[in-house]
Amino acid sequence: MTAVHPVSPRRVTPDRTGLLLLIFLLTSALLLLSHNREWLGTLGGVGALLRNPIVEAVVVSLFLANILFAYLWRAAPWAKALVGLGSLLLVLPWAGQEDTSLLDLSIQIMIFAALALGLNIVVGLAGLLDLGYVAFFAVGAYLWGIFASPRLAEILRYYGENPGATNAGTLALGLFLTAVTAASMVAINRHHQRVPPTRASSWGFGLASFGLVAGLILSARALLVLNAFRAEGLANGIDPNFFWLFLALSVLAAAIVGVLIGLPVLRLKGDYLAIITLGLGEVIRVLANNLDLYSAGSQGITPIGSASVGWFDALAARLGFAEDQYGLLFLYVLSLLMVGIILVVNVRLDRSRIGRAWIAIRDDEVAAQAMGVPLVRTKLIAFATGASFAGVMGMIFAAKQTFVSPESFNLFQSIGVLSMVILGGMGSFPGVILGAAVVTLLNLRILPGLGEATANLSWIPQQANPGQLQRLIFGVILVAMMLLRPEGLLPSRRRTLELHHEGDQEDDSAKGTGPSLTGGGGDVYSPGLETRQEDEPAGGTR
Amino acid sequence: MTTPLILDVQGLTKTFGGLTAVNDVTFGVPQGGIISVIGPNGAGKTTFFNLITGIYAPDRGTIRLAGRNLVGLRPDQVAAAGIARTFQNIRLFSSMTAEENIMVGRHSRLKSTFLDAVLHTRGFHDSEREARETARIMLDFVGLSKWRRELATNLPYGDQRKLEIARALATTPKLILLDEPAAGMNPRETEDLKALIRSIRDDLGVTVVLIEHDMRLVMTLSESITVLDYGTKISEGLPHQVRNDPAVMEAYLGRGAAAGDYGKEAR
Amino acid sequence: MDLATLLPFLVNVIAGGLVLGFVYAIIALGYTMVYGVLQLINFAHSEVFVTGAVVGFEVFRVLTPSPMNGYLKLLIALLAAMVISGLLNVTIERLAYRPLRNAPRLVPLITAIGVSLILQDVLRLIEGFQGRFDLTYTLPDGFSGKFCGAESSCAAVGSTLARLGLDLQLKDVILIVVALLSLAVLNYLVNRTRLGKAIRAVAQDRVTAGLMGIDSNRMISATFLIGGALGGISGVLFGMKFGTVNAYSGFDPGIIAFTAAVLGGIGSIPGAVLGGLALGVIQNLIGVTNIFGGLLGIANLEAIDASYQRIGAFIVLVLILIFKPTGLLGKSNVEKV
Repeated sequence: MTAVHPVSPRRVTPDRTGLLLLIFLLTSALLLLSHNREWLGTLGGVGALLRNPIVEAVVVSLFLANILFAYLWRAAPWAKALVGLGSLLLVLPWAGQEDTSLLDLSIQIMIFAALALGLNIVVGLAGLLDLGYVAFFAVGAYLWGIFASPRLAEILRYYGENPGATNAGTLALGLFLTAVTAASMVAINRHHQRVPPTRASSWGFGLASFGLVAGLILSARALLVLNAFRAEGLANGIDPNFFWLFLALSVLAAAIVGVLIGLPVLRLKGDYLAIITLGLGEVIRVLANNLDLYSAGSQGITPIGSASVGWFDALAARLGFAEDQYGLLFLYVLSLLMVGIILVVNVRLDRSRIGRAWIAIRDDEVAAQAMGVPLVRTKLIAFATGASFAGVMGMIFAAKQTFVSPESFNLFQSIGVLSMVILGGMGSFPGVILGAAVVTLLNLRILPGLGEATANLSWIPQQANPGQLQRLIFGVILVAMMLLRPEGLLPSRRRTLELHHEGDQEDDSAKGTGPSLTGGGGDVYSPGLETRQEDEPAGGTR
Repeated sequence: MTTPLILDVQGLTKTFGGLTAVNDVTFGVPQGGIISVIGPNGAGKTTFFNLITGIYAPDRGTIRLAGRNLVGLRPDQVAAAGIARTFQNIRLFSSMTAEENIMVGRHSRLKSTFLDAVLHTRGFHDSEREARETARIMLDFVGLSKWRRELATNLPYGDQRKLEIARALATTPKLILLDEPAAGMNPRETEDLKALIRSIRDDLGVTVVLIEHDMRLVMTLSESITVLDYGTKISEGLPHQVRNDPAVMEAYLGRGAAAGDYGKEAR
Repeated sequence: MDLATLLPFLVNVIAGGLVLGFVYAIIALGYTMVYGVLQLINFAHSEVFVTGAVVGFEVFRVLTPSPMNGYLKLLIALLAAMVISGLLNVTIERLAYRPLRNAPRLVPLITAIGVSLILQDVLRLIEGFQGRFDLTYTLPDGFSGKFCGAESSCAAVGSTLARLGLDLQLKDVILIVVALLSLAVLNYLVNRTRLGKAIRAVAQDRVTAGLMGIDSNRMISATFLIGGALGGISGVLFGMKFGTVNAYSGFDPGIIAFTAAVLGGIGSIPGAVLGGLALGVIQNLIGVTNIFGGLLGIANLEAIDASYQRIGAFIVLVLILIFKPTGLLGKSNVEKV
């Protein structure tokens, strides 16, 4: 009995160091040229062509493909490093100096790359289809948006005018209630680790969590009322130096919201989870639309501040950036850093006890649990981790846009991030980054370019303008990838093996949970035959 | 001399709608035993395992592992308490290698946390090393070392069953429940399996309970056999006692056919 | 407002909710039947339903100048919508879901979302190339008028209803009649015919049904055909009720109808109807909470406006799934291990 396993012969790829460097130089030159207004002006017709938004998108895509080539091709390590770092740290900012929209686009790509990496943990590793992922992005964006804008002063003013019966005593009561209920929840939880929960202890836990929410609301309200007098001093939001603190807070807040949303819904089966998360995502958006005091409703919050870092601005000035570009450049470097950190965290988690538990749950919940993996807790960690990435990028998004409104957080953002993950390959880190780049370019450059190009064509009415074909594109990505290449463009090793293996199976189990009767390939177990032979002599022992 | 019971099940009952799948079953497993549960198809054997491992909650009855009550615990808590299992329809993690499958089995015994993994602390490296080492030992133990880096579902059928056993053993259980471990194995593989099961008990000191249809395996391996039929325990005792119990023959072959041999039970 | 004015008001809100509920019920049937046979949330069903609404719009638009009887126009619209939506649903299953029958569960689910998105834009483009986005129904004369108004031959019925405080339009009554007829036909089809029996067998256990000689693929196609036809009917009814649809209108009723299916117990046909009616009423009640809030003196309720109606459905969905995942009429489904 030997299984024939599909080990493809290792293809010996030629070393492509030279080609890589050549392409890097060519595309960099093209990028720099096409984003320099003066040079373009001297080129006449070619210059006009290069300014076309679709051509520009192609140029940017070609340039970004460098990084992909550096990752994929076999080449000298120094060349890979040179191309990767050179592209991101030298050429892109340089070109961005001439055309800040390029920096903006790069930041947008990185924001989506981080979101895709976060969703990849939830969908790709843990196998939980979350259709409301963008809600966590909104949490980070609104957290910073409220505090770093005139909104904060408005809120304080409101509470100053409507203090109710709130005073210092309320704050004490709120904090006390919070502490007591939190402590009892921890205690009950610990108790449950040892003995099975009883009706009384479960109700106790529910009561305590209710008390916790009440305590938090009381404390927050009291804090707002007591600080109402500061409203005048905070006309433009809090001091920009709090940016760093809020970076940490946005991670925490999104993770907490992730846990709060996850707790009730993660017990549900996969497809119910999809529709519930879709719903909760919409709930957060509707709340943002309706809680006018906090979110300014559909008008959105603006202007939102950003950090200002002295030494960074000085450095940017030395490098020849204009003063109004400092902020964007700073956010560019910051998001690059964040994507780097998130990528490292992802890779490390993937190759750890928790990452294995996620994949085990994705593969087979029942078996994972029987092997000692606590389902809800493990799924919650996935949810919270994915959420925290979205939270921090939400904050960067708010700082970049200087404006947040509920429309940035609708269902299509979630679907968009999902299609990035699917396009690149569920569970594959380089894949989802690639997916993010492709989908973002399509979305922000190619579609608007198409829309512009066709705006004046009489046979395409405005109602059929291709500039708004996001749904079609997302849909085609999702369907085509699922049908033709479910492992994605840059598949993770695991996923390729699994999906192609499943494709080989015969229809022996309609519910998909039955035994796999074919081992690898060709080695088909024939039910009954061998066992019967074995049983016959056994029967004769009587 | 009486050996202490490692698993003590009293009056276990479970109904699904109108069907009583397990009816008032009392079942004791002595420390270090190899016990078989047999019965015709649909007798409630797998349901019985699912009750013990916490997948279903019993309607009535108690389950004690070395004196500790398990009723109400989730399956992962039961696993942590010391009961590991395999499944009738193999449930390996299909996108993982043989080694990784076993490392998942180690989950509840590893100490490293989320932060350990993110920061690559010493605790993380220690626990990874420990998990890998366990995987190596277990693969060795079941004789699958050559498949270490192979995707679990690419293994031959019989080896998949062994891998499931290795994965279960990686949880360092006190008791292992094997659900039809010989199903689909040829005579040669079944012989190997028999030796493996003995070795689980003798070398690892893990008590074994198995559900099995292969009567030759059951008769030669078990120290005691429990027979379920329609969810009720109809016989219990040493292999030769059970074999000659008219109630058992009736259960397998129907009334009036007790003279036949039940070994021919169709699978 | 006192009780004398509140009561007729309430009666109207509930009656309106029931009318709405019948539309949801018919949509919910499409979800529940497909879920029954494939355990798949057919996200594309909302677009199958919108397709029906678009077909209905086109039929009424084309037939507007014709002197044909209004009910005949409606019949043509319903039949056209049933055929097109039904065939569309079968095609979707054939092309997008069937190749994935044995894939991990997430795969067909994601595909379904993708199909839904594609159809949204395809519908938008089809109408968009004619310069239309919002499609406003041109209903036959009288459909939007009062049911049994003063001049009609059944004025006595109308005045009785008016005394009860019921303010129904003719199209509401037509809607209820069409919905009830469809339910009756469906009930006959599923419970009284060989086809229905085979579909139920496939839903229960596809493998065993196959061993009994039932071609499960054909039965799945039949289910999609029936579900799609129901989607077509509900689309026309939805268009009649609300007057305006566009390519993206499927989302909200889709979600609400799915919630209805879960509330009733997914896979259960009477459950879907019950759930649909319940959600129609709930939605209408949420829509008027500000009025109740004012009546009861609860200031906070006033803040709850129509935009919360959608959230209402979700909250109902979350609560059911947490406390009674099998729904009102669903059977408990123990996963085989």
